[in-house]
Amino acid sequence: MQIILLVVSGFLSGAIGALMGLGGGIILVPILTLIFDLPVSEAVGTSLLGVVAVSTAAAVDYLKTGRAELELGMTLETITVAGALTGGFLSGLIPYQIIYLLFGAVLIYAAYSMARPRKKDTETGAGKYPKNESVGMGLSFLAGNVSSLLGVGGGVIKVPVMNLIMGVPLKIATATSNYMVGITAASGAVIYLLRGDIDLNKASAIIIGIFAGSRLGVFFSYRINILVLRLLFAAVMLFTAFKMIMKGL
Amino acid sequence: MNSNNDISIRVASVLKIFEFGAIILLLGAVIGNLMDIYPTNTLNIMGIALVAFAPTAGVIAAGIISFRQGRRRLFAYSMIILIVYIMGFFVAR
Repeated sequence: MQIILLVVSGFLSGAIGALMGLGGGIILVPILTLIFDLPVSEAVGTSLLGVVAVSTAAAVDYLKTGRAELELGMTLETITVAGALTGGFLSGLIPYQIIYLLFGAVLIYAAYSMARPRKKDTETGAGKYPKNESVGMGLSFLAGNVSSLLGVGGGVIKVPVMNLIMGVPLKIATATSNYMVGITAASGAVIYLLRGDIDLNKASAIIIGIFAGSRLGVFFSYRINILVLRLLFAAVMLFTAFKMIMKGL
Repeated sequence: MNSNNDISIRVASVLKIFEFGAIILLLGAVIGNLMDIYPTNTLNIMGIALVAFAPTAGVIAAGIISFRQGRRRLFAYSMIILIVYIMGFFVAR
């Protein structure tokens, strides 16, 4: 029975992760800790592996159809992984509470920017992109930093940076982010695996669900209304901001 | 077909091989585990290793293909990501 529930949980997180370019960790970690009673380190390790699975399954389709921009993804990912490594060095030197609160505030502002009505060009791709590349790369470095310091998946930061700062259409930003989060999460997942923090039987069941769910997410990503996608993303950002602020207080 | 699309399609093909390999192994592990018919640890390890290594394989593939096509910038990005991966791995250990 537990295996079937794990497959269903994986399916849900895979579908939402692939649709929104997040990886699905934001859904998987609470499910694993609250419903399956897994220790946090095991839940985070399993979730990272799940993010890699979502990214792999969704990227196959997004790269083939050209919706994920490989060069843009690799450019930003170079900076993000360097930021993640620096974040690893910085952890322990910076008070976590301050980072949580700052990050929460930034996410609330980004959620507001994402939800408010705006010009059409960033949605349809009519405008030229990427714009503000240097600013986008600087923020990607910070995203890598924060992602490593706080243990959050990069998608919730990468998508707004690409969409709001660099002018990349939202559907292309989510697809590109989907490819990128797999690269970021893979390094962490391998470390958790080598440390033996992941229950292989549970992880297998979740990954099978994720592979199936990702297909559904990709299917809907071509059909979903851009406004619905933006509002969904803003809701997820607000939820993450709330969690960060609660941790910081 | 421009070279950007070509690289994307080839990287997607590499990811697809890893995905299908992992699906077959992990399905075997999950079904075996559900029916309690044989020890599934080896299938689990192999399947999960394929999943965990897939993005790295994608980056390596992008590096090799872009090198062969003379796309130096993309090749450099792939190498930087791989170097940071290796550094991160040793730092974490």
